[in-house]
Amino acid sequence: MSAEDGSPLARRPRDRSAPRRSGQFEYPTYDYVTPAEQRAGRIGRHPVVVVGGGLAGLTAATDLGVRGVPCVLLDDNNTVSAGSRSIGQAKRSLEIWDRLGCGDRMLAMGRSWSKGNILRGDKLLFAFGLSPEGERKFPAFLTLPQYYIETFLAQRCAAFPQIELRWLNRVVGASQTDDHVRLDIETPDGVYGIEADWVIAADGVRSTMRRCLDVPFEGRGFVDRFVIADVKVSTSFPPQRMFWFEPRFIDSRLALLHQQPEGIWRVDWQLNPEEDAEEAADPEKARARLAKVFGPEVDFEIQEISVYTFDVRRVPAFRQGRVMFAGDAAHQLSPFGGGRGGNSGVQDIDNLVWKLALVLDGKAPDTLLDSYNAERVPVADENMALSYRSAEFITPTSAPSAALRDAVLRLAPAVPFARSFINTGRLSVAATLRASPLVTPDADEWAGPLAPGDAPADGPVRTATGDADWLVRNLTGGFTLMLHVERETEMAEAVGTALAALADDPVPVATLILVSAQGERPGDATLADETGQLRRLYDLTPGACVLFRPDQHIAARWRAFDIEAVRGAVRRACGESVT
Amino acid sequence: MTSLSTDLNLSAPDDIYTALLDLVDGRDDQTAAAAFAAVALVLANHVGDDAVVADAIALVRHAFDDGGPPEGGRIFVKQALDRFFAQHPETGMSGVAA
Repeated sequence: MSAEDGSPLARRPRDRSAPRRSGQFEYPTYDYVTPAEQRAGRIGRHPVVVVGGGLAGLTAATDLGVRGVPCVLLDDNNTVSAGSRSIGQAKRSLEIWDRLGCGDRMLAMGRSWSKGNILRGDKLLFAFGLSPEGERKFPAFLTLPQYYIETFLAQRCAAFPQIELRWLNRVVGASQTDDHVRLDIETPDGVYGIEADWVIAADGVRSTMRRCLDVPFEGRGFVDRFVIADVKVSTSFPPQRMFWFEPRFIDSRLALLHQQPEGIWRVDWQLNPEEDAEEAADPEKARARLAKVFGPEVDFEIQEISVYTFDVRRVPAFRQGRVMFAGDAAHQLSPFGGGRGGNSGVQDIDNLVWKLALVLDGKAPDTLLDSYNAERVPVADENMALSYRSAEFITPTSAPSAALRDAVLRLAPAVPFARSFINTGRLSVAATLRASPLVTPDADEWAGPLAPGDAPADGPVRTATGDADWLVRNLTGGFTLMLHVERETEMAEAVGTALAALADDPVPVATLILVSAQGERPGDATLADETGQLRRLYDLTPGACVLFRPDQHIAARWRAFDIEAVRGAVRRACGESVT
Repeated sequence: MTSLSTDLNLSAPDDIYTALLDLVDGRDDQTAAAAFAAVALVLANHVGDDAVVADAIALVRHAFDDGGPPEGGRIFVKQALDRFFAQHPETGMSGVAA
């Protein structure tokens, strides 16, 4: 998709004529407040410190807020990320932010696209649809710039008194013992120290935490350079993703167009080898170049332009003692990887925070945090492999590789199978954790697309009060057991008693009764699958139940309810060894 | 007698693409071209049907006569978009808004 972070070679801020804004968006300025312990001249101790206030860091702070865990977030700036960053928000990220209470605002503000077109010059090679499997609340992708997401999350954090966002707090030193992490932080008032039980290091590609703790960042760099520009344009085009090989409107081997909210176009193109990066990002030269792209009839204004290369790297282990690396600090991906950079960072956090909350609460052993590594490293590796592949297709590194790609591009217009080889980034989909040790393998026979370890499938439901709603929105952050019965009246009394007992367990399990249609006096926790979509996707027969983890992934499922089986699966998902 | 199949028959096309790249990795251009051609010969023999192989060759000949790099001069992006959406009414879009 579009550039996440990359390694900017040259970056110019928005036009001087339009300072501190992108389209209608005004960059917020967050107040710096002298931290309490700095003022008091003592060392504070906090259960969780989040380093970095980008997509991953702010998602972490909000998730900790929702879960009632106190947290201090440190950011070296006092506003949100300036333009030219992540714009493609995947369905799974949107579901996560919906759980945190921000989904509706994002949906209202973003632009969804459901079709992508890949062209060579004027010729259409391949048009693809992002057709969902059934109905669901969020589209496969929503175009909404990172600065909106971060603003919404920062606003949401204000609802939680135990969450403290500290702006203009830059980490300059970090070390750890078995017992805690020590951070040295520079503010406008000087340097102060704090201690943390746990640190989430979400401080980006050039992570200070990585450097201070001497954690390697392994992988390789790519030499191709790309220009990424956010341009306010006086016209609009249909909400489709446009990718050109050998575009006719710009002197480049490829170009990519997305339409963002408020009339801003994201334009990416590859810099030719002989071009100078500084020159390409120079506002006047860029303006002259884009004037030839847009022509005299179209008004445009450059909001942000940068030239970057990218690396594909990761840290060897995401858990380093008491420090959990997440997002770009943990793994860097190709900007053409299908929107995997920002979105995989959000999924890192979704995977990590509930585990941290249980460990802090004394309800799970701290080895549960090793599963963060076990579950997210394979996902990062898959994303890296996909990054390598799409990068090689988009910018072949040898003559034979270019020849193979040329074969695909020549065949594609007329030969259907060849289109499947066109790889301009395999779009981010929710990671599956099927091989995770936390997942209870099936003991029964199941059909359908889902398996334990998968992210939830969404679908429409009717609530007890008769409102239209969605399933995933009702998986609210703890363990949830979804039990299917045709009618609520058909549920055995003993089952009801057992479900009530589960809700009182040390790690409580909430219950959601999925009926085929609402009865006359439905219970509060009853949802009706009127369309049958959920029964089909989850392969539900009467009496079947599905256990969702606090991050909504499927932990286990059974054809029939058994309270001890549910308790065993919860213990397993909480990292207790299974006998 | 089977006819040439042009729909996708592979379960993991990206893996095949990567395997082909691995085959030529580190080889000089001529040897790499020969390696790709060798794969074509092996697969032609496996197909074992002269007519199908001939159809495949004809298909490639046609695609290569027709599907080369784009021609024509420089145009503005609005023209490119307008032209695209006009040529593809199946997209349900009429083009760039004024």
